[in-house]
Amino acid sequence: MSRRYSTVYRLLYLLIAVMVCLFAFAGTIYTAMMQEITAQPLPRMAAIGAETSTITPTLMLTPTATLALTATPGAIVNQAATATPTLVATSTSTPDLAIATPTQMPTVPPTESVVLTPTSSPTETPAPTEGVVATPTSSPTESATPTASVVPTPTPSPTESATPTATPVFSGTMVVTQTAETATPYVTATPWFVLTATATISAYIEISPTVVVTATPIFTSTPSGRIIVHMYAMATPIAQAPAPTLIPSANDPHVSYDTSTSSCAACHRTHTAQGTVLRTAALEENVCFACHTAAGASNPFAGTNIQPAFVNNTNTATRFFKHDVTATSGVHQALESSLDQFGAAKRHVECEDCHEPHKATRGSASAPFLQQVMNGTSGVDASWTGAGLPAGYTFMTQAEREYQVCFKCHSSFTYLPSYLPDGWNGADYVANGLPKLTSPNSNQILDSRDMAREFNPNNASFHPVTAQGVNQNIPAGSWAAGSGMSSASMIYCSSCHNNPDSATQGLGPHGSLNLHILKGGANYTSIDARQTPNSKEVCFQCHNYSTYAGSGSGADTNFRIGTDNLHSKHVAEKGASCYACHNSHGSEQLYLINFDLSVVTPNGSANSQSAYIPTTNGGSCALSCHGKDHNPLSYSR
Amino acid sequence: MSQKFLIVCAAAFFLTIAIASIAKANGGPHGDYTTTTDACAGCHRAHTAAGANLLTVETEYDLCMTCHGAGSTGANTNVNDGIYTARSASTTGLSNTVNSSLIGGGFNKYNRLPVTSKHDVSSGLVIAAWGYSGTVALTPSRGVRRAITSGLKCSSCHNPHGSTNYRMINTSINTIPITVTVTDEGAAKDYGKEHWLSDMSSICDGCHSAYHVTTPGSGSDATVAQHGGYAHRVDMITSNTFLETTGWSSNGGVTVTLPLASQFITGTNTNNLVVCQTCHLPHGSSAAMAGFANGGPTGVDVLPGNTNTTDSALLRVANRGVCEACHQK
Repeated sequence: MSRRYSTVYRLLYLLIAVMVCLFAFAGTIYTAMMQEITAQPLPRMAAIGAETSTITPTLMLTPTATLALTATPGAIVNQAATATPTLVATSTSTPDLAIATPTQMPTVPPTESVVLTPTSSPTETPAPTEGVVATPTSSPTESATPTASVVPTPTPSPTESATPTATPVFSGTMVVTQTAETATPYVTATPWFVLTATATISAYIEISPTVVVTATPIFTSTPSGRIIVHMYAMATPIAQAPAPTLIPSANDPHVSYDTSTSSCAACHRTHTAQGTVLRTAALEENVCFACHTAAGASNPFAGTNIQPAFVNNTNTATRFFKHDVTATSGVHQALESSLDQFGAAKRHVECEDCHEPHKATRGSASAPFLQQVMNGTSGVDASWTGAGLPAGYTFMTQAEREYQVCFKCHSSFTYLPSYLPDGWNGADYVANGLPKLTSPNSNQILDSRDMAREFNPNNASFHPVTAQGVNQNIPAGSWAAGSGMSSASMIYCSSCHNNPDSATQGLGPHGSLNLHILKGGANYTSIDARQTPNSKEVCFQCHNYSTYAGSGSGADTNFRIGTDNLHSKHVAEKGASCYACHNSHGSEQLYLINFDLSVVTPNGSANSQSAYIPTTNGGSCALSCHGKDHNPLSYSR
Repeated sequence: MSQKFLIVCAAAFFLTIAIASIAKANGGPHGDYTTTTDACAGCHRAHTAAGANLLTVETEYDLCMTCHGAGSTGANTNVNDGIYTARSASTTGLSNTVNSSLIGGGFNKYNRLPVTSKHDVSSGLVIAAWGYSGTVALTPSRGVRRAITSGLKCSSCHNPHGSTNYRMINTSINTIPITVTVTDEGAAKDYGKEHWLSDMSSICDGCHSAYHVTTPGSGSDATVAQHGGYAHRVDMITSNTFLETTGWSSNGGVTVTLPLASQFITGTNTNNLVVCQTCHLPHGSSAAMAGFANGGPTGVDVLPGNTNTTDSALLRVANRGVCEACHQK
């Protein structure tokens, strides 16, 4: 017993020590490295090397630099202090530019590489300005040697030749090595495009007996031709033991079995069973509801009263307010693990799909790691080698993270449904009400029901369910008071998909009054009705309503011109919904941007994501919205 | 001299062969009858009988208890208290291999505690088999499928005049033919240890046919269980053979030992088969039932198949220790 506490205290001290070291390093380890490589106006490039009259830099975009930290109790401080991330970028002459489609990584011939070094040579032209790495536009015959400057300050015109003047925050170099194939450039609408390489380090440490923290630079292109280099740290527990069991009362039948246990009799009958696996009841959920219902004379053991979450909400074929455990019987198979058992005709949900009844316990957990009430549940892990679809899936008999449990049914691991879901227009339900999911418009970059695709950490942006978010520069004032959120936060699927009545009906995505099983006091508006979203919509659980939909200060958002809050302008003043411009889960464009083409019309041949062009200090939109032409309209901070 | 010796040997040999086929208690009135036997007088009186079937006492149960009861010296198998008096008593323990508990249990006490369930043979009345839902409208019905044709008495299962079956089990229980293979325990009978073979479960099948399910997957395959529900399989091989010798405990707590039957009559005694008697005591049990084992999650209700504080379903171990001993959750 004392051994266990001394270990806990020791780990606490180590956590504090690690955090101190990491924050100390934040000043010396760079937090953002911006490199822009600009090029002359180019016609559409169909293949590498097709254009020789203009020089564009080559980026080799397969990351080779990794930061590995192995933290063991007692050694974690030293390890953190000595593990310095090394990112080296090299570049050679005559780079060619290839920009891949948003779902592929840009490629260059293997023999070329981009050198991005913090030091610049004034004799070389072009030399980048602050924040701009390579401007090889001055002479077609000269080789462009982009240089890296680790500077967060704004850059002047990218066509300027100037000597870098900013002091690098980080004095390393970044290696960008290419292995992928050539792809057709994506953007043709703008006369020029910007290649930007950024790398940010953010760390997330989970204290466990042994944990490996890896930080790997990821390079992603965005629809507007922006190459994002970012790096996120993923903590991987070597061994994750379940938290010590906390039994709320002697009546908990889910854990701590010994040879005098009576817990088997809570759910099983040896000779007179009514359901498979010797359950007391024929319907799977009725075994659970025997105790997980209102306390009373017929429920002397009174588990958490979860039944109202299911009983009080009703699904339709296109409108889902609950995980309906009563919809199927006999479809769920114990120890199911193959994709056929989760989708199509076998698509089902029972309590035991998310809760392992012999291991469920109570205790604390933090995102993304599995909550104790789901301890021991199976899950599916996705293998992400690039943006977009995962390369493959691995079934886990015991999931480690909450999203792995959800991926069993809500990813392309299995077959996904194709019904047209209802949406909400602020006042009523609307059929086919998620237009970004179902639009036939070829310029609409579609949402996906495949959450492993939406939350792919290689995407340009995503809510931080599987990894920390790409955007680490979210103003502190933009978060809702009391939400505890920051740029470094990670969240669960159930951070949004939960029961607003959890105080009386239990936590979890069991059922909700709100469409899509969402938290909040009002439905999420997905059909634009030119009215400001309700302050009780789920987004504002974390994102400050005043900043995004009220009259909050411009300093609290990055979507601003000076102090002029452009979110206020669009949402509060013009009545745009969050959905009109942003995706809920992930996007191939920065900042979860993906315009709803049922209300937004991109200019020219831009699509729902390339209509937004980010710049170092702002961006511009080339679109038309309710007759207001943005042709383009720009903003800069 | 040698010829006489040979003849005596031959006679002894053939006598042994002649009587070896009848299983009987050693030296008791339960078999081995000859034309000069006095065994009949152990239980019967021709003209002055007090009970039916010319028994010396009024009821069959009382008769059996005159030798097999508490304080009796007629037999060392005291089935009233569940004690094997041939072995010195121990103040602790449940294991039949170590101390003097009878492996079949006791009708009034077991392990020095009052029983919480028993096959009540004292009344001789017809009683429903445990878990039977015939008097309660339940779908599917559960419990016994065979009709119970006569009252429950000692002689429902045991033949007092001897039997070819192990432990003098009747060759017919509830009109169902029963075969239980005898194993030769040698001259020194040991009623503290089982010598079970794979047909032990068939004894129970005479009345509890609904529970004698031997097909794999019967816990999840409704077509297998005969009464329309799902039932735990019996007569299956377990890898937990240690349960019979060293027992098992979780977290250093109570150690449970469970007797296992053997697959084979000769050769290696594997003792790796789970039979009905692995988890249940045929005579009576004093296992305590509490928590979920007292009525189940909704308390004592009409669902047959619940144990409670006054009905431990003949389980060997308190609560659901018999489950945990093998399934080790």
